[in-house]
Order: sequence, then C-alpha cells, then structure tokens
Amino acid sequence: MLSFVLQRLLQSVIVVLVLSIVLFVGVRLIGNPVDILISSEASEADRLAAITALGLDKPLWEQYLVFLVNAVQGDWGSSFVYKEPVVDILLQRLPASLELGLIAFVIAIGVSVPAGLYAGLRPQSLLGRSIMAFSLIGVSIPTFWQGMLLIVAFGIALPILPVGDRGQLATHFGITSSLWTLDGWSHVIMPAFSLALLKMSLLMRVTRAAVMEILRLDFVKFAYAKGVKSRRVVIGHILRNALVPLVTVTGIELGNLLAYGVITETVFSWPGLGKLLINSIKVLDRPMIVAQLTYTALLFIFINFIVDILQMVIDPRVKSVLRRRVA
Amino acid sequence: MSTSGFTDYAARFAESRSAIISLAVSLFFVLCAIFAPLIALTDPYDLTQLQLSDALKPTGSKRMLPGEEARATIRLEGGKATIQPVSPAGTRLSLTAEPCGANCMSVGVRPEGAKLANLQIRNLPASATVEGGKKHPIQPWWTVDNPEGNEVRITSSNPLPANATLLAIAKSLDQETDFVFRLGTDNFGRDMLSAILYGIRISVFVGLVAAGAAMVIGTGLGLLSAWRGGLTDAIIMRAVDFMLGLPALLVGLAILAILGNGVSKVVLAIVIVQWSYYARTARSFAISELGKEYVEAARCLRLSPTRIMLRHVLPNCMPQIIVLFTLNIAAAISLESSLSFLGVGLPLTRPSLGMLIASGYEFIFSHKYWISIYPGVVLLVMIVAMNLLGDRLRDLNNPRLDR
Repeated sequence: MLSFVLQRLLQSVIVVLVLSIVLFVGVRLIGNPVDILISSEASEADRLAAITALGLDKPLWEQYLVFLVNAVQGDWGSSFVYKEPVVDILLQRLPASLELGLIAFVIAIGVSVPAGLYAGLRPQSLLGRSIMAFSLIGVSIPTFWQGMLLIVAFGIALPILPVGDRGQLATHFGITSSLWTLDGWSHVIMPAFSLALLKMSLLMRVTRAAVMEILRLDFVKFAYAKGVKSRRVVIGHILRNALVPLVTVTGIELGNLLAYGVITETVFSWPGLGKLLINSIKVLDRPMIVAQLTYTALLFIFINFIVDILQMVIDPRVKSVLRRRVA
Repeated sequence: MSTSGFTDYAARFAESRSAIISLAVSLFFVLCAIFAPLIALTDPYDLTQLQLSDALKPTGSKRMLPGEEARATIRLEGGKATIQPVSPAGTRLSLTAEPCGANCMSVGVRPEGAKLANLQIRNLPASATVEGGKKHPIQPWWTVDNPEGNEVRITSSNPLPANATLLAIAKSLDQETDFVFRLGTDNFGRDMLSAILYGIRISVFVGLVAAGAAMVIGTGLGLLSAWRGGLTDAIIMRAVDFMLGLPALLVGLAILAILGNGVSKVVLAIVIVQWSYYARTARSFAISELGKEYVEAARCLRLSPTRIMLRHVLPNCMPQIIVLFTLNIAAAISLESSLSFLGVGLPLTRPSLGMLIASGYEFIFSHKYWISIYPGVVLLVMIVAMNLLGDRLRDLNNPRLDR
C-alpha cells in the first residue's frame, strides 16, 4: 500500500517537473520579457543592468532553477497588469471558483448517480430512454452555448435569476462566501448547473454502463436468488460495484470541471480564476498565465493522485492484487 | 475488409434508425462544408459587400439598399438650361431640368418610380423661390421634402438671370431589395445563413484535418510503441500518460496562448491534445494482434517489420481507430468552437461556428438572440450526429453485443 502511494507520488512529482519545464520554455517562446518590462527609451547600459538584475543573462537552465526555487517558496512574481504578487491575486479569486466548482460537483453527482442507476436498471423504459437522450445532448452541447441558452431562458426571457457576478457575500466561521446568502445562491445556481451539465451527462452514461455490466454478473443473480430484497441488491451490490469506474471518471471530470470553469466563468461573468486566466491571456500577462496554468495542472495531478488512492480503498480487487504482490 | 464483410457490416449498421439519420446528417454537413461557396447567397468574407445599415437585422428582414444622393449642376444661359451630373459613377438617380413657361423652371428626377427623401436646389438668386420648399435660414438653399411627382418648380418674380449656376441634389429613401436575410444578420451586417454555411466549412475542415492528423501521428506512434517495446514503448507511453493527465481545454488554451491564434495553430493544438488517445488505443490493440498466429506466419515469411505493421496489424486495429476518429472529430469541432469562443481560436474575419456564437454573446442581453442561437443549433446537431455515429460504430465493434 505504502509503496504504491510512494510510487504514485514520485510519478506525480516527475509529471509536475516535466510540465514546469514545458511551460517555462513555452513562455520564453512568446517573447523576451525585457522588451515588455523595460521602456524603449532606456539606454543600452540601463538595459543590460536590468537584464542582469532580472537574471536573464544566465543560461536557461540556471534561470529555470531560480524560477523553480522561487515557485516552490510561493514566489510567482508580480502580475504585469495588477502590479501585485500573483499569489495574492489568485488567492483573492480562488473562493469564487471553488464555490462554483463545489456546487457544480454536488449537482453533477446528485443527479447523475440516481439517473444513471435507473437508466441502467430499466434501459428500455421511457424514463430510461429519456435519460439517455438527455445525456447525449448534454455530452454534445457546447458548454458556452448551453450557458448562453440558460441566460436567455432564465435570465432574460423569464427574468427569475440574476446574471453575472457572485451576489451578496457574507462571512461565517471565517469563510467569506456567497453561499451564506439567498442572493448568493440565486447567483450561483445557474452557472453551477451549466458547469455541471457536461459532467452530469458523462457520469450518467458511465453509471448506466457500469450498472448494466454488473447486472449480468453472477453475484447479482445469486443475491436475487437468495431472496435478498431488491433494494438491498441495488444499493449493496450493484451501486457499490458501480462506484469503482465512477470514482475514476469522477476524478478526471473533477479536473475537467476546473478547466471548463474557464468557459462557464466567461459566459456568466463569474469573478473566479477562469475569467482571470482568459483576461490574462488576452493582455499577455505572462506571470499570471504561467502561475494559473501551473496551479491548475498541479490541482489536476493532485486529484488524479487522490483518485488512484481512493480507487484502491474502494475496489477490493485492486487491494488483493497488491497484497499478493507483497506476499 | 472483403466486400461481403463490408455489406454485412453496413447491414448491421443500418439496423439502427438513429445511426442512419446521424450518418445522413453528418454527410449533409460535409456537403455543406464542401459546397458552401456555391450554396451561400453572399460571401461573408467579402468585407466590401457588408453594409452597416444591415447590421443586427432580425430573421426574415430584407436587405435595404441605402439611399442615394445624386447631384447635378444646372447652368442657365440665355433662358436655356443645361444640366451636368456630378454624381459619382454608378448612381442610379439622375436629374433633369426643363423650362416651364416664363420665369419658371422645373427640376425632375429619373427614374420615375424612385422614392425621394428630398430634393434640394442650391444657389438660387434672391428673387426666386421653390414651390413647396423651405429655405435654409442663411444659405440660398431650398429643400422640398417628398416632392410630388419627383419634380419641383423654381419660380421667380423677375426673369431668371441669364447667367447662373444652380446645384440640384436629390436624395432617395432606403429601398427594399428582394434579398431576404433568412436567419437575420450579425453586428457587421453579415447574412447569418451564409456565415453559418462558411462556419460549417471551417469547423468541419478543422475537425477533419485535426482529428485526421492526430489519427495518423497517434496511430503511428502507438504501432511503433507496440512493435519496439522497451525504452521506446516506455517513453511514448509516459508521454501519453502525461497528455491524458491534463484537461484538453487547458492544454489547447496554453498552446494558443503561446502561439497566438490562427487556423493552423488551432489544428496544431487539437493534434497535440488528441494524438495520445490514438496512440494508447493503437498500442493496446496492436500488442494483442502481434501475439496472433498470422503475425507469426508473416514473420516466418521474413516480411519487413514495416510491412507487417502497416499491412497486417494496422488493418486489424482500424475498426477501433475509426470509432475513435469519429468521436474525435466531434471533440475537435467542440474544442475548436470553445477556444474560438474564448477568443484564442480563429480570427474574427473568418468566423467558425464557435466564433459566430461568441460574437452574438453580447447581443443576447438586448434580445437579439438569432446571432448565437442558429449557429449554436447547427453546431449542436453536427456534434450530436457525429457522437451518435461514433457510438453506433463502437457498438458494432463490441463483440459482447454481437449476436
């Protein structure tokens, strides 16, 4: 168990290092930061002095090491636009994104597992077919367009939900969030649903497929034959086993939730990290871009790591394979 | 695949009605993409054809010809009037001047049916007036709004001076034409129907080229990985794991943030995102194929590795690869439109469907829905059809569902 965790951890670290190298070199390709930071009227001597001060005269690998050491210590440089440390800005924006992602995640799981379970148990029923049709549309519809349709439907045609911004914030237990107020909820519910739709549809399909697969297996037939109540078979046997693929896909999709947050936040003018990333790309705010992409990738890799561990805890088969290997 | 095998396959494919429909829809879109320049009534890329007066027109409105202005100088010489048009070339309106009795001259407009906003006569001598006209408070300019019979009469108490030069300016109203914007216009006055047709062209092109290139590169690397094994396999598969570990949208965003936007860069970004799917699939199927007897037989014949891989192993992996290809075209189109929506994809002058939707975004708040809704519907139908097609092909390849 421990060796598996350590192995996965090492892999993750290597992935992060490779990623940081790719990003570091990639960002150097955009252009020379000296051209942006130093005014064109500066004398050649000033230019050289600035280049030395910024450490840009050193060889690339040395620059990379300096960047890495600083990054590990939490120093990501200052934004060209906001003139503030990048980390501070990211931390300001983080709660809005987390809030949105969390609600979307809860909606996605809350809807998809029961719906997928039903569609898997009764694939031929009208509701089962409707769920599949819904998920097909949900998988195919472009996230940004679907968000716009929601705005048109619930924000403009039937103006029952506000569009844009987080609404009223409140602080309880040291957490400032819009989830403490009713106004905040009315703001968050539409973007969260929009963000959840794709994951919801995917998870529905995964759940359905897993349930249909498990239904055919012998232990389910035995359980029914033994006279176990249908509800217990569904919850105790089918759902439990369906959780294994579900956790894997959920993990991947959780990472995608972060990525697609970029679109949803743009559509709904949600003041989170995604919108910040797009704005930074548009104005070529390089330290912001690097920090954001690295941060998201780190989170993604971290989630994958957790999912691998979780999967082992849930799936008894994985555990037994590991035990055998140790023995 | 032999002919009978293919017929069999096609017959099984056709058992599902939704599969037939989605195939037809997909082919329809491909045809739209190929023949867009022939079907489209206007060329949305021709900026000279666009007129701002057509911007943001709702569905079914007609294109308006903007009002024209025709100018002509009228030279009076000894009771006779000679008229000299000074309008720019191509103006349809023209002016005429004829005497109408003593101390009177009428100025008319051709063609007869033209609807005039007003007709103005400038530089009249102080004694003269224009019937039904209003004089400019300071200048000697007389204007008649909606002149009756497109004609005005200049009358004077004194005889008209023998040597004078007048200027007549006729302005016509905006005119309806027979051209109907079936799906409205966008904020540049582009016909949405034509723009959507061209948008389909770009989206389908990007989807096919990107998914195709990713297929070739990814499958090639997957086969290489399966054949060589060892270090090559390890390196390629770690790279695949690395790519699969990152969200596609973010990778695309990062690549385009670095490279800037443009069709070729979007294609490149999609290829970088998608090659890993093919590589993984091709490798796993190739490895299982490599253990089979026919490969052993080919090896005994001392066929070259390239030949075995491409002529023997690859065709047996193709069904799975094609399924992936179909699904990935849809994914590529979707990714391209998302990137374009975020403003890092394609340039504004050659809009893809995603770009059209994006450009309509700001107008939904002023109830101008048609700019985003129609391209969105087209995009949705296209992606649904592709996904259904891919699903059906996958089901056909799944031996467990085989009877």
